[in-house]
Amino acid sequence: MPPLNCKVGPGPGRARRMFCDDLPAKGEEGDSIVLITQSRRWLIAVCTVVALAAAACGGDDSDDNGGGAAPATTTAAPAAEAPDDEPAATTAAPATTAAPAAEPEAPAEESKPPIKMAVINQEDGLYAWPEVSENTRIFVDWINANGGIDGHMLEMDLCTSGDDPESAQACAQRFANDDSAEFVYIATILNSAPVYEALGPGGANKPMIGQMLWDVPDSLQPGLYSTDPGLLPLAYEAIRFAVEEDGASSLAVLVDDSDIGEATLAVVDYFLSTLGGATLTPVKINMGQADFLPAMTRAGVADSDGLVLLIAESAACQPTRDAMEALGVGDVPAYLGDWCVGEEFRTSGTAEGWRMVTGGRGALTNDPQAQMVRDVYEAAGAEPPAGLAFAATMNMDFLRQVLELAVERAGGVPTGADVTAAAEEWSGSILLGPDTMDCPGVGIWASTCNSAAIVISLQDGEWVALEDFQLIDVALFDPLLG
Amino acid sequence: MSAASRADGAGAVSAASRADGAGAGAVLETEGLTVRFGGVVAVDEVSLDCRSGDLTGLIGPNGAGKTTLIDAVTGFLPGNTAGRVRFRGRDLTRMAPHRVAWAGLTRTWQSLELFDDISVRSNLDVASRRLTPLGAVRDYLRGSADASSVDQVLELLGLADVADRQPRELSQGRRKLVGVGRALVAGAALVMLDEPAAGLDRAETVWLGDRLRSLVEAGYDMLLVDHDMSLVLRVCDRIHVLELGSLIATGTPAEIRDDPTVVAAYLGSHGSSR
Amino acid sequence: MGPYLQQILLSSGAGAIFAALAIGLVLTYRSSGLINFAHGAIATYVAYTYTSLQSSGDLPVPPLPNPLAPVEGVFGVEILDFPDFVDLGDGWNKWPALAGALAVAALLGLAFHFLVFRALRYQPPLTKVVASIGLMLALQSAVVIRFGGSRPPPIEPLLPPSVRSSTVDVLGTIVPWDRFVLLAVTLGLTAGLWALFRWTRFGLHTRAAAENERYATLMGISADRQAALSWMLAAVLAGFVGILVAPTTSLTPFNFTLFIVPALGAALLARFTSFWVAAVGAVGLAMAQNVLLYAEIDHGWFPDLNLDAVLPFAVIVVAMMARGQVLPPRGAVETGRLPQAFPSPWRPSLALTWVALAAAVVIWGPFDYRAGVTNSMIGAILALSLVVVTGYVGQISLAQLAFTGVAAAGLASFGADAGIPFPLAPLLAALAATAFGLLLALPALRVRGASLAIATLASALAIDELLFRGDGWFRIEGNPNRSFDDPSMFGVEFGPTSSFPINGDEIPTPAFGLFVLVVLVLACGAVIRLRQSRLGEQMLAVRANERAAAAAGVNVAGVKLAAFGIAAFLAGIAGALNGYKLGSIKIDSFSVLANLSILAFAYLGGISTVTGALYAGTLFASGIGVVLGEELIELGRYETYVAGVALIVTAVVNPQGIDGFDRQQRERVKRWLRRRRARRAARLTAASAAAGAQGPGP
Repeated sequence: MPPLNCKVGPGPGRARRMFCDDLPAKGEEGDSIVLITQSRRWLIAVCTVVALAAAACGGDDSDDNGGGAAPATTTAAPAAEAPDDEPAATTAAPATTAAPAAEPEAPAEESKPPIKMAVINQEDGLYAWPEVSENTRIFVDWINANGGIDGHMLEMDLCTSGDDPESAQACAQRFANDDSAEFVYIATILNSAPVYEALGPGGANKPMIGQMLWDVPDSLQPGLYSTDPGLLPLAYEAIRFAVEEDGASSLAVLVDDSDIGEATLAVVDYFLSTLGGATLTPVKINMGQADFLPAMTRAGVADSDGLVLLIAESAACQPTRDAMEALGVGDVPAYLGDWCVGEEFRTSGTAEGWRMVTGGRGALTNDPQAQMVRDVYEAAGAEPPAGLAFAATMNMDFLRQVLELAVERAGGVPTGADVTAAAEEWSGSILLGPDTMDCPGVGIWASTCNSAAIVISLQDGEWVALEDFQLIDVALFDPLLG
Repeated sequence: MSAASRADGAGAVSAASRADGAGAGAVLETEGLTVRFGGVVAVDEVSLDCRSGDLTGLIGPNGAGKTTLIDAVTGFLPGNTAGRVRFRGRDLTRMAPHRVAWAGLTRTWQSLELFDDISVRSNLDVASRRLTPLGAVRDYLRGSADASSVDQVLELLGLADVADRQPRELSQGRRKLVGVGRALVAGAALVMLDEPAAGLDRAETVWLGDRLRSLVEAGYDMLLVDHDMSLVLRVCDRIHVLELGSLIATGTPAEIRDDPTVVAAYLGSHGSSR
Repeated sequence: MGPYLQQILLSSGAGAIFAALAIGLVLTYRSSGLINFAHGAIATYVAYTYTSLQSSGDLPVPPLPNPLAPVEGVFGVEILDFPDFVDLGDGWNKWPALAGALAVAALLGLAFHFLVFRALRYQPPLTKVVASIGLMLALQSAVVIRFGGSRPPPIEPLLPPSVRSSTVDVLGTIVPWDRFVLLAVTLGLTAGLWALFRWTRFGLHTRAAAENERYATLMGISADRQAALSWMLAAVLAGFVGILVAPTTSLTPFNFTLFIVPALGAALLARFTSFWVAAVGAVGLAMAQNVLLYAEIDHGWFPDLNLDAVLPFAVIVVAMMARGQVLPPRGAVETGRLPQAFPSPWRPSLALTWVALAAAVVIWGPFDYRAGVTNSMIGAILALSLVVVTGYVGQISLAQLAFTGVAAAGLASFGADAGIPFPLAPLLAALAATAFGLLLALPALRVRGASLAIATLASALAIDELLFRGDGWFRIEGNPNRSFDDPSMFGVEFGPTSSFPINGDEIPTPAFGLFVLVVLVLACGAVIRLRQSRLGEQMLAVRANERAAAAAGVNVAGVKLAAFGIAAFLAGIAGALNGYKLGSIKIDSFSVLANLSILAFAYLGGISTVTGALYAGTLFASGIGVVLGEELIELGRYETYVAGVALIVTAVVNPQGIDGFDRQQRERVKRWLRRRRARRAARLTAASAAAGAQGPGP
């Protein structure tokens, strides 16, 4: 037999191991001596990850756990005007919204029970808007600093989600199961279908204020109330303007290569048929497309009377404009939805050249109400939100107005039914909406709140309204529902 | 290794193979086997045979094309091979390697190529029986015992005590035996051993040669490919000599030892002959 | 011909972008032997840095771990506060900002080399893939954490306005100059890299070190230094490309990551070897895409099959297959040692304990734990599919999520639309996924290692595009109404909202969780049995050594087909369960990249064992691991960032994954106990021997 030999070689993981053959079978079953080296590295690595995570925890003023443990509180800024001695409920005590609804209206000095405001925001992932959480918090603080909702302070309970539908579902289910959450404010969310599933009429049936994104066309959701008319009504307004005001008979339309894009095309087709049958050249643009230029050519812009950009992604605005200039069709009238109405778009100079923009929100530069919003943020020492984040802020003010109605209706802390009723009765102005804007829309288009599409254009470096606010008559869309 | 165990295990298998083979006739025959890689001819019109009951040797200096020949015969070079390969009466030319193995022609590897992450027993078990789709399903549902030949071969090679260890825990010599066992376990009619003595010292080489000899006597036909002249001359019954892809000599060890072309080939090249 | 020519010419911009990324991928592969999925993320991060420097003079600082955080937390003080941004004055000019951003890129490259990839030099390709996926996740999240979701402020592009606004007429087509300039710059970079590798000492040394490090070191070439320099170069290249093309494509956190897929395709075509083939291939890819898109419009009758996304990849994969070989040639580098696939004996008592625990949590636990456990269980089934195809057979598959999508779509069609009843509909759906799995096995027969990984990724993209976009066969509507009926048998429903005697008023109800638990037990049992069976043994043999397995009589092609088929079936089951759970499914542009995360987390859990799959499941999307983690620390926007870092750390420190580490530690303990017993026994024997020696005589 060959002589006994032993040698040292690689073992499992980072260990080194000594191998021998024909060791005596007695005693130990194991035949090798394990020398574990570098196990301290593992310890350091674990500590790094924990420290990282702990740093993340210490990094922002996290209000809340996503896990449903202690519901959080807002830091209520001391109210200069509020006469009542509202205890700044910054402890982790469960929020008591269990005050009986029929609580007699206390004299001004008595503290009123807070209103719990459940919020869902996507903070993590590729389609995250972490800054919207802060923006919402600042606005809530401002509301509370100015007397809350008729004396009731708002208590924000934030649940955050990521790109995956499971996290959105988890937040939605949490609030669906939480009896103290009567309504939910949707700040930004990518996977709206599971949220709608859990909270909508088919689920817990709690009113939702805010905006869904991406996979559920906003305008179609009963139970969701928003001042954002959504892509489809804005598309309508743009088309209408192009056909009726500018006399376009052929339009090139850019849509997103997705289900929303498909739905948009179908709707646009329908619109054009009702408006006298202008022709439509659709072009679908994939988000993974590196260069808009070839797509613009395929749209046949040069031969069209106009181009309508209906990709609800602000990253598409500048490339589209640049591509048109590059192709020498910069003179063709171009119409867009409000996602390009951010300040950066205006100040960059690339907003020049758009014929008009339809918007449902306060983009007008010199508008006093938009200025009010900016003042709120500047007072808090924060950047005023831009773009989509500004839109989210619009819905915050809408929520405020709806809650005031609801509190009035309920005579105290409102229930979900109170909030729903208030939303449906609401009629008013929302940071540059028309005075006669009201909810609900018609039938399945309930959430559009018959809201406004404003026709805006950039003139002399300022956003100005071209004409009076245009109310969308959502009844127009009914035949689409077949 | 006792004579009894030899008779028990290998005997039954070898009897079968001997009955199939043409008596003392050729088990493996190549006819004008040629392997080309682009413009390079690695094996040039080689016609050789291995006879039943023999320990046949194939020697040649490094680079002579020995391993390439084995690769070609076992179906690893389908796109580069021309000529014919006949095994036990069947035409194996360019057949897929696993089918070649099923036909009874197996091999070992110069670099061992064992299945490192599984036990020695599993290494053999994988090779022990053909697994058809239906067989796989049946085995999945009902399970099946190790082929009896696995235990027999483990005994035969003295590996029974390390059957549940992993190959990397064994010494080099024993690892080679695992490779040999893997080639034997399906009752192969011919085993081609590719440089089995590589990395072994003088004593170990002698020991290995003795073992191979005894395996042949137990009924396993073998083709021993090596460049170590002394080993091959010592244990083989018949030897083919390859140089630069061509067959330059065939004969008994005595004949080869005195063949001037062989001597010239070995002295002319830088091949070592330990 | 005119409009087609126009499409070809106008594709130069996109082609240049893909090409610039592709040559970076080839560079990293040639110098470090790894496929850098994070290449696009590096470009994004550096481009955002440039934007920040130019617009406000702020240098972003990536989120860094604060080692004093636990101390700070305990004592409530703030000792160390890493700033989010470093204020370096007001907005910088273009060129200083470029220099600054590229300096940051070089530093990043250096950091990646020293902290991560140096330690991974000798690890198998799968480990390196996991590390680069972790890096991709971490960098992308860092961008979102620092800059939020709002679009970055516009800044002055690198190319001067005169170039950007002028056009040139080529054969009747008007093409903006800057597209050609981009193309020229990219080709220049390609030429530069090619020359670098061919003629400079750096290139020579890098090639030498990559091919045979030992000999290179003997010759005085420091492989370490070569790799460090290469990483810096690759990072700077990525950053430069990002800054250069950002104005054309518009800068978002995800753009460049999406562009990585066509860049990978081009690099695959170049076999990750030739810079020129990669560059030309990428340009060709862009041209083919746009030509096909136009053809679809031109021939309006042609159904919208998204051939633009599918066909180029199909061509690449077919080309790889045609050039590939059924068995790896002699001397080819094998996959390297994957984590051990430990034997799986039946352990009924252990299994019963875990089942009881899971059932208890599902029935009596709070709803978020219930949801977490349910998500984990479904994730574990998906991880099991990777255990089979990657853990047991060693084939890196990045297409498992595509199979879940097929199954979910199938469930919608068979179940909701065609009204096929419960157990049959999801099984048919899983079989549909299996069919695609078998299809995917075909490239696996001829392509291996990292190339196979890319080929499967490309196939996943093709499946998504063909089935779910345009006029695909399984168009999924973003429908607010439930697309899936609850599963039910004999009148008992067990969907997420189905009634249940305990805790039935909170969603998800225990009914669904118990249903998933049953399916998980069956799946685990099936995979354990597979490991024990002869087919499993043959799978491991194929994983260890394909050539030797073939020579030993294993039908390697058959085994691979079986593996992909089984894996696709398991993934399909997970997909059907997911459909029931979510009530709808959605496929979007970056679903393809989610496949990477799945593989990475499966690896983290332990890719070669059933237990590893269970660990992996806890880490997936909102699994119980995440839920528990959120109880301890609110990660919020840092979730993906921490996940990415954790993946990198795991790859570097413990490539065996959690399960491997766990077994290793258990072995240590066992061995220690054994030695103690042996020592004690030896002492007793010695004592009794001594006593006996002194004892009274007979």
